[in-house]
Amino acid sequence: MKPEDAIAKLAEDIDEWFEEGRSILFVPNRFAQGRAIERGVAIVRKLEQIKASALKSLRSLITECASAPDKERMASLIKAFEVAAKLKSALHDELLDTDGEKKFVLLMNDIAASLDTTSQGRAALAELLGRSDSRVRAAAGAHLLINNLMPEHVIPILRAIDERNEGSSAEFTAHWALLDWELKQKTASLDNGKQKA
Amino acid sequence: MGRSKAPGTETAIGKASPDDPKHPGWPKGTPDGKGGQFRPKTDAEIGAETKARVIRLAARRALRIGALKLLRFTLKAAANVVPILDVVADAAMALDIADAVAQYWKLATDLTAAFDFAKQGPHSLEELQVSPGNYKQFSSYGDFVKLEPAQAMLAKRFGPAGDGYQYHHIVTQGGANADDLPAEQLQNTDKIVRLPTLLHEAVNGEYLTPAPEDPSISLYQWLQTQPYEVQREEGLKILRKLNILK
Repeated sequence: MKPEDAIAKLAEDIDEWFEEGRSILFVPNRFAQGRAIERGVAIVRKLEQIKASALKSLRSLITECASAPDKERMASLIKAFEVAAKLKSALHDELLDTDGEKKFVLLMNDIAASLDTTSQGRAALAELLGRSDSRVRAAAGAHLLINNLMPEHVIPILRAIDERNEGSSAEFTAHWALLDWELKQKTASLDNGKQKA
Repeated sequence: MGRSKAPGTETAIGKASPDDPKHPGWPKGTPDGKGGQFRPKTDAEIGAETKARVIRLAARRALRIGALKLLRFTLKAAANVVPILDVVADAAMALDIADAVAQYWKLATDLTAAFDFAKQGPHSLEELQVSPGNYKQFSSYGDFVKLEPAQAMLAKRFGPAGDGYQYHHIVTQGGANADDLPAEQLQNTDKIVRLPTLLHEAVNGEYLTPAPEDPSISLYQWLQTQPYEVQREEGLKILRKLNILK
C-alpha cells in the first residue's frame, strides 16, 4: 500500500475507533476503557511510523541520487517531490496534521533546492503540471510560481484548483501561491511607479 | 462520522442514485435518457459535503493529538515502570483514563454542536456575528468576553461562546498583530464571530500550515506581515473555502 493510502486508511480507523468508543468509553469499566485507549494509541503509533519511514526514505533518496548522472538524478528528485506532495496533502486532507505536513513541505523545499543543481533547475518540476492528481499539480505549480518560473503557464492551472471551493490542501496551496504572487506584483508595480515619479 | 474520498484524489466512483448525496443521479423518467445517470452536484451538496469533511477532519485531529499525548506518556511510563500485569492493565494504570474519557465526552459535545451548525448550511457573516448591525469595539478580548456574568449582564457584553462553540477572530489577534494593530481594530463585533469549536479548530489548522514562500513560518505569521485589509479579506476567504461562510 502506498504511504498516502495507508494514511487515509488509518484516518478511517480513527473514525471507527471514535464510533466504538461511544459504547466503550462511557461504560465505567476501567479494563474496557484501557483497551479502547490502547487501540487509539496503536493507530497513532502506526501513523507516526508511516510518516517517519516515508520521510527517511525520501531523505535517503535525495542523498543517494546526489552522485547519479544528471538525467537520472532529476527523475529521482521529481519522483520524490511527487510522493512528498501526495503525503503532505494526505496528512492535511485526512488528518489536519499540520506538523506532519510542515515536515513534508520542508522536504519538498530541499528537493527543489537539489533540483537547482541539475541542468534544468527547478523548472524541471513543470513535468508535474500535467499529472492528473491536483495535489501534485498544485504543489509543483506553487513552487514554480513562487520562484517566478513560467507564470503564464502555471497561473491558469493554479486558478482552476483554487476555484474549486472544497477546502482541500491542493486548493489552499494554489490559493496562497496565487496570493503571494499577486501581492508581489502589486509591490513591484508600486516600486516601479515610485521610481518613475 | 461518515466516509468520503479526500479531495484532489479524483477517484470517487460509485453507483448513481437520486437518494445518494455522495453519488447523486437523475431520477428514473428524467428526459433525454438521463434517468439513473450521474448528475452534477449542486453547490449546496458540495458545501454540505465539504463542511462534514472538515468537521470529521477536526475531530480526527483532536483524537490523534489526544492519542499522541497518551502514546508519549506510555513511552515515558514504560521506561520508568517495572513491568507488571499485562499490557492492558499496565496501560490502564499508567494512563489517566478519566482524563481521556473526559476529553472524549468533550469531543462528542463539540461534534454534536458542529454537525447541528453544519445542517443549517453556509451562514452569512451577519449570522455568525454576535451583534450584527450593532457595532461595538473593545480595548481587549477580556473586555469583549467579560467572563463575570454579573458584569456581562450590566455591560451587555457577550460572555463565553457556549458549549461546543468558540469565538474566532477574522483578523488574528495574537502575534505581531497584537503589537502592530490597535486593539479596537481586532476586538470588535465585526471581526469576532462565533463558531463551533471543531470548525474553529479546522480554521486554526489552515492558519498553521506553512507559508507559501517561507515554510519555516506559518501562514498565521505570514499573513500578519500583510496590510490589515488583506488579512481581513483572507480571513473571510478561509471561512468561505471551508464552506462555513456564504
